Amino acid sequence: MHLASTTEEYSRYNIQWNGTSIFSDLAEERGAVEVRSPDDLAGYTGACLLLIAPDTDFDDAAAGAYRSFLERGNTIVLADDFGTGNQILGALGSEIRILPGNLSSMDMEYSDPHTVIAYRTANATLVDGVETLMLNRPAALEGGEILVQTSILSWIDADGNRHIDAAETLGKYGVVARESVGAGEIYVISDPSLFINTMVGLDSVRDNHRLIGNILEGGRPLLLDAVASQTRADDGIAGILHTVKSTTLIKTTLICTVLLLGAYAFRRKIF
Amino acid sequence: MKKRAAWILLAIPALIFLIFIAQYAASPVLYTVKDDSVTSSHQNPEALKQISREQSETVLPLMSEILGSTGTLVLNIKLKDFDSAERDLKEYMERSRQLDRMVINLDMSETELAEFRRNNQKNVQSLEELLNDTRRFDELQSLEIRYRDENRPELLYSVMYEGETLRSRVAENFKGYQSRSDAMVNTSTKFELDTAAYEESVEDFEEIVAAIDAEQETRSTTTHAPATPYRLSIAVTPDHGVYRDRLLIAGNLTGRTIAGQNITLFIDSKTWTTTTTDDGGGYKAAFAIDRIRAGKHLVYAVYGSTYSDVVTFSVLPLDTALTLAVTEGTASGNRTFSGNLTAAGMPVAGAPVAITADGKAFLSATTNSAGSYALEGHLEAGTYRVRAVFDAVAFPLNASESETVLIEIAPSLLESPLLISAGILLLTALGAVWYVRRRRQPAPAPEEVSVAETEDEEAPAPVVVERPPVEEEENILATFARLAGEGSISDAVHALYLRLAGSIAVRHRIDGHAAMTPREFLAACRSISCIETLTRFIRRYEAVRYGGAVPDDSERQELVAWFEDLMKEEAGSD
Repeated sequence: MHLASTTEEYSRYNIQWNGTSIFSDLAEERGAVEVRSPDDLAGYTGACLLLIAPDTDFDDAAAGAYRSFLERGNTIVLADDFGTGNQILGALGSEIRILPGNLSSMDMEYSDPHTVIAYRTANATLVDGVETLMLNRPAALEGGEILVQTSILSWIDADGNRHIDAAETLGKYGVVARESVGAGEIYVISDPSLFINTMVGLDSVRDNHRLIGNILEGGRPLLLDAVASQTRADDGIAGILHTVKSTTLIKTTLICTVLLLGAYAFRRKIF
Repeated sequence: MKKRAAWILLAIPALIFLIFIAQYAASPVLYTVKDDSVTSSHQNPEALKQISREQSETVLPLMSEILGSTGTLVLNIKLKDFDSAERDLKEYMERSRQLDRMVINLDMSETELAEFRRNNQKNVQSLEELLNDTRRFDELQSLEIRYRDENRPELLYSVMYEGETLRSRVAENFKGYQSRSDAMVNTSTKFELDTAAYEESVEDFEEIVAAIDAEQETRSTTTHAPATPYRLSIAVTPDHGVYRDRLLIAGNLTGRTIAGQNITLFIDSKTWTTTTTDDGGGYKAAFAIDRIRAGKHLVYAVYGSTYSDVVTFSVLPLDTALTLAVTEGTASGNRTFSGNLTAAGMPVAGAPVAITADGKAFLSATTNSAGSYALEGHLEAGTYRVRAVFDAVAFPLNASESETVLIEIAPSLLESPLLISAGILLLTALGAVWYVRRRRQPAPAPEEVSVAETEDEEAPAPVVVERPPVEEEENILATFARLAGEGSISDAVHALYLRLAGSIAVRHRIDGHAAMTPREFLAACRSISCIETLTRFIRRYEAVRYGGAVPDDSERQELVAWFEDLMKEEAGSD
């Protein structure tokens, strides 16, 4: 339950269509733990860390902590389409790169070529049981082992006119890739929109639910990144309420104040 | 004065409200999910229409079938199984048309897929010509045998000449087919299609050319010119040209009577023209290159049974330039599309030009003698990317497209928000005037109206009709007496109540009295003069109707007396 909301993209406190509140609730129901500091990653082995739409770069200390986490045999799933994740990927020693752009396709789920249908091309734990995915304005990936890619009737819509022009080229583009780093694995998904409320809430759209199920129920501890991921965004009232909800002393003080005000009003017969 | 001020106070906010709401008149929905459905990262699928379209599952197999069709088609031509080849060609053409439609509908006119389609269109034409030419060449073999048997050397010679033309055409055709092979294979490979059948078709085509070449070579060496007393020479000067060039085809007839003789000239085995020799036996004709395909062409001259040699000339293709200008049309939503088609600066006359909007051809025009075209067409409201396209193989000219012109067709005046707003304001004003005038009219005289008699307890509302005559009031009393006599005293008092309530409601403008309980009705009548009698009547009515009380004779008479008093009182108040 959310006492209040924000309109921040990907925010776990945003209950509107572009927030990730539904996914976050699902993850929490399954025991997911929020990682608020790189130090929180210490001690984990065999866990899976999910970064959704990172919007900040890693400093050296954070990069070291994440890389160490990876090399201990953990898994990192990074979902990004803006290319911010490239700095993180580089810091983690990954060869996979995100190519920002409007990946479009004639294979589309909705009446818009940016709602790309992509097809599984290789097997991996993350895409087990996934045959096709519906993506929402994804980017393209290069490097690593491509697990899911678009059909040949796809292009990067450089001018965003939803039309393939002479300067744009048809081709297959990777949208989910995998790479081993040390004892760990990195998965890159070029569309963090897979986790937004409207996408998670869609009934029977391709195998998106299966992919999310593979992340949530992979039989390993699930960690939700709140260091670099935009899911942590909690501006305005949502931020204040989140602070109140998460701080016991403030919460207790607030409840006491409300009770006292109620008692005063009752005594003075205000109501 | 106060009333006028109140009207003004009401009118001003109403006007402000109307002005504000008028801007939404054209699109009255204040909010839809589409209003907030797109960000830089994603869009809300719920605002889009789900179509689940996987074009790759349609387009790629179709391309694969097209490539496969060429293989079987050319193989059947090579095997001279022309019936099967005919069927193959039909299937191939149908698949090609499907691809054409698909590329246009998908608006992929600037992709490799469109290049594949363009090359395939040329291949369709190429293989259709191959089938026709090889079939005719095969027929020539039968004719050759027949003419040899019949010992008709002049006809044999014509067979040889036509065979020569076919050989030249098939060889020329092959050059074009082969030249497109790399592009077709490269595009197909990119689309991960199997090109083996297509590549075999190129090899088979080459073998067909070689076979025709060999057969024609044999034919030409075994066919001798018929013995005639004449000799006919021919030459083409120059031996090549481009669109709008003129080639001189000339020669000499030598023999006994050479002046004023008709010489027939053939181009590609088809009669082109007939000319007459001069006194020295010379003849000449100028051939203007216009509607003739680019490539090599054969010419020969015939005088009676005297044939000239076969000579060739080549038509070289020219690049073209096409312009497009879009201006307002004569009617709403119409646009005039005009422009020029030129080749090396020369106007191209009689050429077809297609106008496309978002890749779909919707108009076609033909250029005039100055190479210009102009036509008007209608488009629905919206934004379009319009282009003019010239692509005609009948001309020795390369295809060309104009620059894209972006046009926006505005909604018609009837759909304009301004007009709709004005209409709403006008209707509102008319409604307001009507309402005010109606309010100012005096209330109708109560004598003229009354409540229709109704025995139906569930009647929703009184119906305004003419006031019932006095006899009818007497009837209600008769009804009361009859029902009371039958033991239905509850219905009897109810009939009285309905008549009384209806009458009072009409006179005192009490709305919805039929839906009121007696107590509610009584409360609504608190301002009438005979409220005390009415109160007594309704108390008695409730006691009988709802309390189950059975009034004795005196109480019944009292009830009737109250009813009559109330009715008289109401009549007196008029």
